[in-house]
Amino acid sequence: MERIVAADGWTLLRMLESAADRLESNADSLDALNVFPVPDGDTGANMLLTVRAALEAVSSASAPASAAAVSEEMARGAMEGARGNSGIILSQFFRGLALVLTGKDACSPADFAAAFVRAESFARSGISDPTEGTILTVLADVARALASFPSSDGASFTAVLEAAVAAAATSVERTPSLLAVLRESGVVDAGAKGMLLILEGFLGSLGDGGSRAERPAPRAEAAARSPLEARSASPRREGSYGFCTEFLLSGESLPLASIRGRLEQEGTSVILVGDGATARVHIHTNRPEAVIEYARSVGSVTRLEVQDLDKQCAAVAMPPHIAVISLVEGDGLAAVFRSMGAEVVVADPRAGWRDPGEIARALGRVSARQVIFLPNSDSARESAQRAGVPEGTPGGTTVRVVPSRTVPQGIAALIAFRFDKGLEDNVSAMTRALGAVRTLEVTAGTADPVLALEGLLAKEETGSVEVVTIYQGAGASESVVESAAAACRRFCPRAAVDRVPGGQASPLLIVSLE
Amino acid sequence: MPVKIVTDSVSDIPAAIARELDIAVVPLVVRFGEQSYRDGVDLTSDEFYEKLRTSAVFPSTSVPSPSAFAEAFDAASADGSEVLAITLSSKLSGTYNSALQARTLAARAGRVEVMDSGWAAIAEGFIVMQAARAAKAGASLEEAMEAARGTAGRVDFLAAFDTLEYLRRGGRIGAAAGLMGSLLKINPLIDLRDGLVHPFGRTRSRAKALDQMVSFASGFSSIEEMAVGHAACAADAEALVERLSSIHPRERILRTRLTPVMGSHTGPGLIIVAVRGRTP
Repeated sequence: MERIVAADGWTLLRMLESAADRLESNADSLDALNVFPVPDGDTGANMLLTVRAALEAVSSASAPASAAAVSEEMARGAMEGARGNSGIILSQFFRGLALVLTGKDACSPADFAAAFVRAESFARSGISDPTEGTILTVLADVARALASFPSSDGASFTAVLEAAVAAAATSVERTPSLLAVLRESGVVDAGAKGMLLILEGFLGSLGDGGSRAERPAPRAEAAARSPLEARSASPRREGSYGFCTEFLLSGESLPLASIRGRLEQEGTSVILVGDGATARVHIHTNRPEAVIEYARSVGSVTRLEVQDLDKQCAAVAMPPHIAVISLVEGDGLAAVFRSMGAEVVVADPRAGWRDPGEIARALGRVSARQVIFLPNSDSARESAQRAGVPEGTPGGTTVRVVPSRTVPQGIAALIAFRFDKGLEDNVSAMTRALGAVRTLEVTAGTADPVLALEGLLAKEETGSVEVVTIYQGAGASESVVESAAAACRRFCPRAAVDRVPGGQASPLLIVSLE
Repeated sequence: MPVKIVTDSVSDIPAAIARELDIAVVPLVVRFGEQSYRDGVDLTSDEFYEKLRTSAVFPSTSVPSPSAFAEAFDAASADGSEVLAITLSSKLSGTYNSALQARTLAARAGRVEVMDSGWAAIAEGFIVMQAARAAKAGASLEEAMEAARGTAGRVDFLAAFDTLEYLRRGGRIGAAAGLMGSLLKINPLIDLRDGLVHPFGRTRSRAKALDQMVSFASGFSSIEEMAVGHAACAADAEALVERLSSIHPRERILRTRLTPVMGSHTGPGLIIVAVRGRTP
């Protein structure tokens, strides 16, 4: 290994180039670690851009050789080009280095150590909310480790870099113990890791540079593996948000319209932009593997990213102090209510609402101290009363019933929930919402369901209806539902018509008009 | 001692007003892959939404560098003025930190104070404008800061989104994540609480979302200033202005357009109403 006693300008430049390379190979996985302060996944890119800005400033200056000149150019470039929180703090490292090296031809081990001390104090004074368990901690830990570094003659620059890398590595491993959000997400801090990579890059530039870490697998493959493994390990619960799946699709004359149609069957939030040669695809789906397989059948897939949305959207749907419990029949309807944040009690198809124990158990499941019940049918409401769910305060929980008599009323009430309002205001708003929706029901066993529906529609004022939702019962065939949808569009020309697989045993069709 | 105001591009202050009130605006940065653009300077809103439609990569955003703020501080203090910088909520962006760092970089010795508005978009804009008006009327730095603080407690906004996907991708969705995943198509309504994105409610149609925005604005007992902003949905914005003209003179409703940086986090189809005034 090359034994350098002090780093001159050219060495500093080589160190920085090596750091840029190391960051570049790892930028994607750094982005994947990014959960603090904002999980916007750009720490890797930001630190790389900051380092590149520092490099460009040196390259564009006339050939300098002194450490003072090079570090000053680096600092100027880094501070002008600093991106993101991590980039800004990183630029303070360069600033510290430049300050320490003023007037010097080469950077000694002591100078390097001093740079970290300066950097930490600059960075800390400039951050409004300095947090431990981040790049700040790495700067502090390295500064501390290097302060006790033997400064005897002959101590090599290589040795001080090795000590810095070791201290940084330990510091990075510690970050989850210092910052709860890292611990919860099972990651180390992205900015801290980025600083470690930079130091490893510095070390790596000095000849053999110690152990060369394995180039990590590209993020796409790693991500595509884990959600699929997770799926076989733990089956998705209903109402799961699925996986956010994104990729670039390339091919020849890609049939975008039919691709979109197919994607819309596989999930929600479909975004498809581009042309016949390249399109950016985005979808939320429970079956990312099916989407990817389909995409590969029509073109080639690159830049694949799959993210588990349940982890990201684990935030509470309703404020923790109010829970809404909805009583429903049918798995499809249950999924709809759950997807909108309600706790759901599903009726036993055979017993109907004869088991009031279910309702009492649901009350026990929610942790909120205030509960709103949506019965969604008269029989459910009676059953709730038999379960001893009167308005009142059983066991310290305040329970109120919003007397929805149909599924559409229950949905309308749930939609009317206001996150900034308290229990009574919400009960009022939700009860008012019951009157804003009209429900039409076609019972199972009707000879001609579509004709029956048309008869019902004809009796309503439909010209100003904006939204029609058809909840399909278990016994409704595809052709019946399509004809029903067509009838709704005819009677309600201004409306968007939504179809939802409700799966209820009865009625055959529930149609809401809003 | 005269005071000059500096802010960031997320405050959405119309250019004419910024000129009139001598407000310096430091742009954030929007990136499409390797290409960077200064918010509202290198890329207009129209150009941004065109790129959004056709680009193979999603855009990302970055805060202004400390140097950019330092340059703005130096320019503002060239005539001996003291400087008050007001940024968007520090819980949504590192812009505030960047401005703080810039205090130590600014070459001149003049006084620079940095405040976190706790808001974003034109609500932040209202706070900046009030501070600028105070400064123009001869307020001291302390008085301008007091004006800003006072205004921060008297502004609010409500925004209707087409989709929460951009908010989620940009990492700012916060508690509003609970609005995602609905199996029925809903129109989410969002506001800010303590500087963070917060779910307000949802409706089943865009028209009902606009109804909610009208009743939100109508809930103020006195309206001193009102703005309607949008991201690529000018027609909806005009319709909303029309309806709001029954509670506030039409010609005094400020029209704003979300800058590319904001648009990256909201997506097209966003419409916002902001009010400075008193809530009952």
